Amino acid sequence: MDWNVFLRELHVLGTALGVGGSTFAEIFAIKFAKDKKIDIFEHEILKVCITVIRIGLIILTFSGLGLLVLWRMKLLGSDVFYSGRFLAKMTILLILIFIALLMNFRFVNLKLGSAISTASWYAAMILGIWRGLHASYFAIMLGFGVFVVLVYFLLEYARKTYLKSK
Amino acid sequence: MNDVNIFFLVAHIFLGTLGIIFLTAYLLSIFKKEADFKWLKINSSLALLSFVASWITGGYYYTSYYGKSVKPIILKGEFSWVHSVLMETKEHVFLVLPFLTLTLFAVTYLGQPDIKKDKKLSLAVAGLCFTTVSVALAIMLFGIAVSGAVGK
Repeated sequence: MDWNVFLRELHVLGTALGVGGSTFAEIFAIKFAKDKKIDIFEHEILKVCITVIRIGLIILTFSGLGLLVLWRMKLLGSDVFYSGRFLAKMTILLILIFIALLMNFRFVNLKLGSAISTASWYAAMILGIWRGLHASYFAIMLGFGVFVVLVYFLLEYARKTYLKSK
Repeated sequence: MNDVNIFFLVAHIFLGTLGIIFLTAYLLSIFKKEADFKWLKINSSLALLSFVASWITGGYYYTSYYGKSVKPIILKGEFSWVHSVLMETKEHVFLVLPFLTLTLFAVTYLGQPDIKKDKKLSLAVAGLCFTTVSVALAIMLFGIAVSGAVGK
């Protein structure tokens, strides 16, 4: 197995852990909010989800940087490094890191923060898969903004629907 | 690029990123209700070691390869501003990083009793850590942008 394949596999693994972890964190958070209190067991489950997300983010970052070194050695240059898709992925990664810090310090509303975080993971995955995308950076970021709003309202709808059920 | 230069480039990136991760872990720990000083000390020590090692490996890569082989190509190309603005900024701001981390390391080791009692001091230490993480992230992004300026 060459470095390119190994790093790509790690990159996919990191994304899967991040997307999976954030999805299950949202599902459990909605489920646990039913009685409006989080007990020790529920807290432990959410902590596991957050740990999985953090491990995913670390794997994603290191494998991504490894891929960048390979691209640098192949002299792929501005076609890859300055493409709208790549710059948007970098921006979304930064958003993920900063929103995680802001949520940790309660500087941002948790519902809004978790919607941004979940949307960012899905957006990073979609951008990674959608190789043929040739949109500009601003078009992609505009699409991302709309996606965040959609995810926020979708989660709100799921929360309200689940609270009304049973 | 020979194997030695590739090793130093990869080590420079890897160690710098590790430093960012240790500082982020520090930032997440200091805001806990009962901050665990054992972990704060470990994270600040490892962050300091990582940044100093990244400094040395980056310096070797710059003097042995970048300055001679990459810089002239970038300056001749259409993205010459990437070197003159981003790389120049990176080179100078990068010098400050180990000292910022050294300050954090020293404050964590020497000021433990005061940080525990004084909320204002712990906020100031967290502020210093956040600034260091932000500077390190900016330097990492500048490095990625510089890599993109070298094409076929």
